[in-house]
Amino acid sequence: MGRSVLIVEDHESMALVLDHLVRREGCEPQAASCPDAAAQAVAASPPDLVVIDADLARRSGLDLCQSLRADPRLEGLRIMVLSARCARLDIERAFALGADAFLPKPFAISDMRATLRALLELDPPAGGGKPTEAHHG
Amino acid sequence: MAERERLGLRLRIFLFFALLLCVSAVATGAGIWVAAGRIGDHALPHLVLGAGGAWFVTALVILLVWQKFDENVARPILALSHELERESTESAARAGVNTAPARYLGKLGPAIERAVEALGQERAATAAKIASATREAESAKARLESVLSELKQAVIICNRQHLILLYNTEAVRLLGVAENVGLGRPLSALMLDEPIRHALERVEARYRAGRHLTHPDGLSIAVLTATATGQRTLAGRLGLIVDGAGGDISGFAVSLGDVTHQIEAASARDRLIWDTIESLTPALSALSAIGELFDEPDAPQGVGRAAFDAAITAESRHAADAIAKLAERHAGLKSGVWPMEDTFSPTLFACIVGRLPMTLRGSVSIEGEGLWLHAETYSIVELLAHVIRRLAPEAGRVSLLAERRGGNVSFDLVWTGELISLARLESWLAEPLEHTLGQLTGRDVLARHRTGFLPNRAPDGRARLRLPLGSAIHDHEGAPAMPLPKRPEFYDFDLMNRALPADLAGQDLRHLNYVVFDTETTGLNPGRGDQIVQVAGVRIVNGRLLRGEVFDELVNPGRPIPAASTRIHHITDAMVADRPPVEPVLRRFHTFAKGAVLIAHNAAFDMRFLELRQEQAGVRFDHPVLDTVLLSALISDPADEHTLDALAERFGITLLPEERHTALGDSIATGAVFLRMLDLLAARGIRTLADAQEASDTMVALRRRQSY
Repeated sequence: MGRSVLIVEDHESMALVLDHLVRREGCEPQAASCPDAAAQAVAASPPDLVVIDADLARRSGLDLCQSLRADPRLEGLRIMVLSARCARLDIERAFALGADAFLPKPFAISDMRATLRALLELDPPAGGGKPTEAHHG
Repeated sequence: MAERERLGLRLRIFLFFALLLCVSAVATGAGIWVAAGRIGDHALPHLVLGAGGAWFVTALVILLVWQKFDENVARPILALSHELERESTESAARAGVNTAPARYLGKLGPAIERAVEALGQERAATAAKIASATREAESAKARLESVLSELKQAVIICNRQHLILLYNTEAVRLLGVAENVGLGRPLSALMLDEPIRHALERVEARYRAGRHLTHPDGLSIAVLTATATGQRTLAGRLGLIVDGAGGDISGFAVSLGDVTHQIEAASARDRLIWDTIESLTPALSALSAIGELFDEPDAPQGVGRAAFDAAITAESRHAADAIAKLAERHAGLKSGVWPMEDTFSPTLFACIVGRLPMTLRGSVSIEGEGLWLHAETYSIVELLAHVIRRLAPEAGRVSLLAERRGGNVSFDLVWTGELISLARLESWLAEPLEHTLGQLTGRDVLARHRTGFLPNRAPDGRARLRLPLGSAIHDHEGAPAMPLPKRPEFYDFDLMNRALPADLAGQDLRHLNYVVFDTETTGLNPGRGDQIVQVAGVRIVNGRLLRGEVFDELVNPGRPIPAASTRIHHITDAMVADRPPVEPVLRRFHTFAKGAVLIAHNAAFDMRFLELRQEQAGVRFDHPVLDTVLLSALISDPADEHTLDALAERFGITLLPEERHTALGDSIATGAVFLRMLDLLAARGIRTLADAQEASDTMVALRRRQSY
């Protein structure tokens, strides 16, 4: 069984892309379209990584990030924040609130893969180039 | 006190003559008594009769002499001393003294005349010296005033206590609260004071540390604040005023402009940009990610691919919508970057005609009414002049007119004949305009104004080229809220070192702020339902009557105005029909009179009307009050009249005919009378507000006693 990744993203197409990428890394994706649903999912079965879109419509994803970090039971949890707001201050704020990684939107698929692997401590892709199906198969 | 002295002089003379009478009576009696002892009883009746007769004649002579003395010496001396007293106070200076009563006083009358004449000449000489010395200052002042009044920036100068020492016309227009703008008023009544205090704190710190010597902004600093009501955003600069190099800080000057529209335009632009980013980013992020995925060798295939295809369709549509919305909203934004301003169409038309060659000017005529619009005037003038230069050779006579269409104003070029073809028009618009910076083309100017030419036919069948432009941002159609006098007293630097008076009672009457006011009413009985129909007032600050700082409002009394009252104040029912009721007017007047001593001619009457309605208005007129009738009674002969007309005449105050018997005119006259009274009051030891109130109270008590 691969690592579990919770994707908190309210934009359907982006959720689809992230779901695809996570599966390709051999991990088990879960989806939540709002912070409340995400909190419930985390409580039910804590994932290894949460990918949070900071620009959620109703409540900031950074709130979720902060509350997850405040929970002592989730010590080993890794958090990746995605955001279209990527001024220096936005990035610093994400890290201050407990993010382990920050990826500006739009992102390159390769960056996303590399970040996912780094956070989940997966093996680097063979040859250091683009990840291939063979490597994960 | 003067009254007692005057009676004293005549009484003393009378007593002297009475004493003579007594002495002569005693002497005659004693003579009779002594003689009676020496002569026989038979002669006594003759002696008594003779001596008595002689005494009686003597007594008559004494009485006659007393009467003549009183009439020709005592009274004239009193009259002369009164005249001299008036003459000696400069404010009551008149044409010579009346020495007629002194005709029996030998050379005293002519001597006094000469003395007064000499005094007059001395005063005239002094006045001439002062006049010539101040003429230069006056002309400098006039230049300053004209510069200030033409400035499109609001300029306000304050002392350290943030009281206003100077303001210009634009400040009144921009800050717009007529009751609040005024000399000696606190700045905080006009605008948010905090940003000003903050800016001052910073620039003061800079000054104290000597950093202003090297700082590029010296003693000035940028400020951003808002009007007291928060409706307008103001931006400008604040400059510290110091007494000479390294001297004390005596105040500060602020120049401010209304940036509400620029800031609104800028923030609307920011909002639009951010909204677009927010709505495009997720779509484009998804699209670029999917594109990358599809590029990969293990791109999703079959069923998995269909979900991505649907996502591509949805996101592309979303992105297209976002761009369409951006274009639509961008078109609706008013330009905040180009120096757009409100302008009046006839002014622009005159400029356009002025740009044409002489040969063409005769063929252009201006039609229709003048309208206000919002444009970058220079480039619009150049554009229209360019189009007319191209159009006129083939169109013949061209008319220029402005027309209102919905929320916009259109400039129309109208001529008899054929419509102009779009191709020709486009070729003209592609040409660079003369005299413009950076070789602007007509197309650039149109893009800058987000508009374009529409060729069509006018309703009367003439060919037309229509240019829609934005209408004015500000309201220019209504009358200005407060008509400003030609040379208003907009500044008073003597206030520089004055704080708000804490204890009014002990203040010198000359240094207090006053509001001299008058009300017109439906009748004389407030207790029986008579109401106010007009309230007017004028401020006195630092001993100056400020004709530029007035309050003048009509009130709808909510009942018909009797014809008898209309005859007095000329205010008719029709004039007050659309005026506000008394409550809001009293509230505004209360603000106008804040911190001032109220003065009225026969104040009890006006105060009664104010007090009857103050509760409904939610204010309290608990100002100190002075009454010019009572003050006049304190300083004049008992026989003098105390009507406003009589006082104005006595003090040599001339009123314009149109000002007489209007609430404002009477307020101004009362104010002028009051200022003239100050010297006479001071001569009687009435110097402070407490003195004046105490003396007035005594006068009220005295009058009450007299009337019983």
